[in-house]
Formats: sequence, C-alpha cells, structure tokens
Amino acid sequence: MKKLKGKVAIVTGASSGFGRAIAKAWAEEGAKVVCSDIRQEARQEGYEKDINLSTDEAILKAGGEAIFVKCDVTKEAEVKVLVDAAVKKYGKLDIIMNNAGVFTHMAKIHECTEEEYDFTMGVNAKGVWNGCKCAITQMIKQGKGGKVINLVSIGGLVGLANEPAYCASKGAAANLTRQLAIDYGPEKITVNGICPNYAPTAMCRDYYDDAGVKKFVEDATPIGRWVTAEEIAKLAVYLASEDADYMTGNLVQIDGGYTAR
Amino acid sequence: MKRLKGRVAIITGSSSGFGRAIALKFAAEGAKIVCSDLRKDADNKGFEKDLIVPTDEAISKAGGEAVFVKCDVTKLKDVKALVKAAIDNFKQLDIMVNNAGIYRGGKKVHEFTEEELDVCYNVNVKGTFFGSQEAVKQFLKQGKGGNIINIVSTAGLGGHPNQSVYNTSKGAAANLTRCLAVEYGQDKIRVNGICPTYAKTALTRAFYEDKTFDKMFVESIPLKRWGEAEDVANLAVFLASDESSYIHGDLVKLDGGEQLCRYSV
Repeated sequence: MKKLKGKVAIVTGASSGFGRAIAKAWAEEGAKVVCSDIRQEARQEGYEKDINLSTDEAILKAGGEAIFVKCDVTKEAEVKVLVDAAVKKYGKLDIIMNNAGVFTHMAKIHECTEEEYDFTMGVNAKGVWNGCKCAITQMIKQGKGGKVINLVSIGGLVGLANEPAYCASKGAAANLTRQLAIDYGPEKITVNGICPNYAPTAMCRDYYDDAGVKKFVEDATPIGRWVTAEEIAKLAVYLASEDADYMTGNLVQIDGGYTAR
Repeated sequence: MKRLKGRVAIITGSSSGFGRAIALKFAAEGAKIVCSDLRKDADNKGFEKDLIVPTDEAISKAGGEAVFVKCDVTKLKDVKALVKAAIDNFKQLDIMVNNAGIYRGGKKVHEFTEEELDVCYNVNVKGTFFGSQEAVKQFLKQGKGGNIINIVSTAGLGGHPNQSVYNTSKGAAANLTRCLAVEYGQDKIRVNGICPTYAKTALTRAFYEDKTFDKMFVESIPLKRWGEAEDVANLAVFLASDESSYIHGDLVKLDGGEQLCRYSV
C-alpha cells in the first residue's frame, strides 16, 4: 500500500546523498517528487550505484513521477520559484524536505574564515528558513495542512569536534523546527527534523574513506556501524505519512545511539 | 505488507489503552503477541469501541495469533514467567514493549505519600527495568539481536506541575532507555522510547471529562487535539520494524508539538 499516494513533495539537495534517497523512496510510495538542487547530476564523489542517472531520471525509470528544478536555497526568490513550479506542475504542495546542506572542512573557530561561516549558514540555516517560509506560505493558502521536514543532523543537538560553523547552522535549523511547530500546529502543518550522525555520502567521502575516521565513528556508535542513506529515507517516509500526523516539533535522532550517552 | 511478519512480541499492560492498540496493530502486521496485564479484561473507563472483548480474543477474532499471560511487572518472578511463556508458546522473543504504567498526581512534591511514590516507582521504573532485563537475557541467549520499546511519556522529559512522582518515574525510564542503547547496540538489540502526551485512554479518562482541564490542555497543544492510542501504535510498529533500523537510544516525542507543559492537573 502506497503511503504517500497522491502527495506532492519537494526535496532540496535531491541530486545526491540523503536527498536522492528520500526523493526515490517517496516516489516509490506514490508521491510526485519535485527534485531540486544547484545541479541536476549526482555528485561524482557519492556512493550511489546508479550515479550516472540524475535523481529525477532514476525515479522516472522506476515508473514514478518526478521533475527537476534548479534552485539555490540561499535565495528566497529561487525557493519561491521552486514552490510555484511544484504547484504549476502538480497542482499543490503537500510535503517539503529541506535537505540541502553543506559542510566545508574540519577546523576550529579561530581557523575559520568569515566566508566559510557565511556559506555554511547561508545553505544550512537560511536555506532551511527559505524552504520553510515558502512552503508554509503555499500550505496556508491551500488550507489543508502539510508536512515540513528538515534535515538537521546531530550537529544541531550536540557539539561536534572541529565543526563550529556546521553546528551553529544546524542548531539554528533545529530550533527553527521546534518554533515553527508551535506557530503552525493549528493549521495542521507539522514540522519535524531528522538528526543523523555521519553517513557515507558525497559530503562525508573524505571521512568514510579514511580508515581511522571510519573506525572512530563505528566505535563511538553503539550500533557499531555507519548509517545508510536508505535508512534515512525510511524515516522520511514515516514522517511524511499519515502515521506521523501527531508528531510535530520533534527532532528524531537516527544515529545508532551516538548521542544516547 | 506485514512489517512484523514472523516476529514474537510481548506487550505489558496490553488489556487497555496504548498497550492494547500496540498489540492489535502488531498482530495486524503479522506478529504473534503475548498479551500481559494484571487482568485480562479491558479497563471499562477506556475509549475502545470493542471494550468488552479482551485484547488477545480481539486479535484471534481478526485472524491473528495471541495468548494472554497474567503478569504483575513489579514482581520479577512474574516477568521471568512472562518471557518463558513467549518461548513456550512461540519458541522465540523478538520484541519487548514495556508499556505497563501507573499514574499518581494532583499533589505537590511535599504532599505525596511514600506509598504513592513506591507505587509509581515499582510499576513505571522497576517494571520497565525487569522487563528490559529479562528480554535482554533472552535476546542474548538467542544471539540474533532484539528490539525493546519503552513507553515513557513527555513527563519523562520535563518538569510538569503536580505530578512529580509520575514524572520522576518516567524520567528514570527515559534514562534506562539510553543506558540500554549504549550497552547493547553491539549485540544488535535496538532500544527506543516513545514519549506521548495525554491521549484518550482509561488512564486519562478523568482528565478528558474535566472540561476545565480539557480546554486548558487542548489550547496548549499546537495540533489542538488529544493524542490517540492509534498514533502511539503506528509509531511503535515503525520502531519495532526494520524501517527504523538505525534509530537507537532515541526518546521519540509524539506530543502534538507540546514542548513546554502549559497545563496543570
């Protein structure tokens, strides 16, 4: 039974990694997916087996429905165009996955540049803000509720060594998630966050391929292994479905017990 | 598609409320259920439409497999017998749902009696601890991992007025969940907690019917409604199944956006 039959969803950062896995999983569950990213092709540093197909192509190939819309989430005007494109193509917007995110490199704050801070906050904090604002504006207009899901990260809940800009930006996204739940609950718009730890995606290639770092994460995680993008996608399916209608303002940790200590 | 096909689950406090809804939904997803409670019959203060049918019979009627075992979770020997019953009836144990819980409230810290403190701690803490211990022992013996779900409550995450014995007992259950996660992750035993807010069950019937509390509670919840046992059951299926394979040691809130408690019993 298709859990998202008839739903229209936007996924930002959909060309690779978590966003790609989520877009595919939602399409499999019957959703029409508007894939968006700054570029259509998958990042070549990723681990996807079908990396030569863009996400929307992979969905169409599997019999689903999807389009691609180029979008720089740091620009509110482009995000509004993205939402309008979803409505123009599919008639409405039910779900948005604010997944687009960046990580520059490991450094302590006294070693970071202003550019690094602005870039990281621009995508991870402002990008999520823009996605929430534009999607919620559309959902209010429709008057039938909706679902906003933000890819936050455990970096939004706890401090991670050598990641000051990343953690600041994810903390912003985390608390925006909690705040929006309060304002839009009466409108039946739920807002939740997904908080993974490190994952084998293009973003973390340098760490996953480094035997020392790979083992460090495995040893620090009670479950003893790294997550997969598919596991993140399964949580996104639950959160987007009617089963999770009473969940809002929640940051779901999907980290193998990393933050349980 | 049966997400719990072939799995055996014990649910404590399964005669009514959350436990009943979880048992019914697990069975609908293909699991064999060991129902357990102090008594077989549903609490008649509950909201279930088929109240007069005990949970195990409702499961069998719907084509599922279930047995009922009387169990007082505050007694270790009862909990041991409960796990043994799962093995005797169904040859294995895959999922343990520590749901049995009791509530005491309406008083400030300095007004509670020792008896009220003991009752809440014995059922909500000791019962969850014993259930977890015995399930873990069985899982380690089987060597194939396992799944534990503790029904905690948002009361386990914050300070709510006038129910300190309940909140401290649930706080203990919340942290037990994290400790279990840290210790048994490597053994493929996945452990999580569910933190609902007030939902329509026998346990909260009196509050639901109190028009002052009802109004105050609903106004304080962004989604403007009480929780339903069905919401908890859907989350429990997700956490018990392979769909949540990397979620571990999480206290999952299912509270309509409650965040800070703005109501008072």
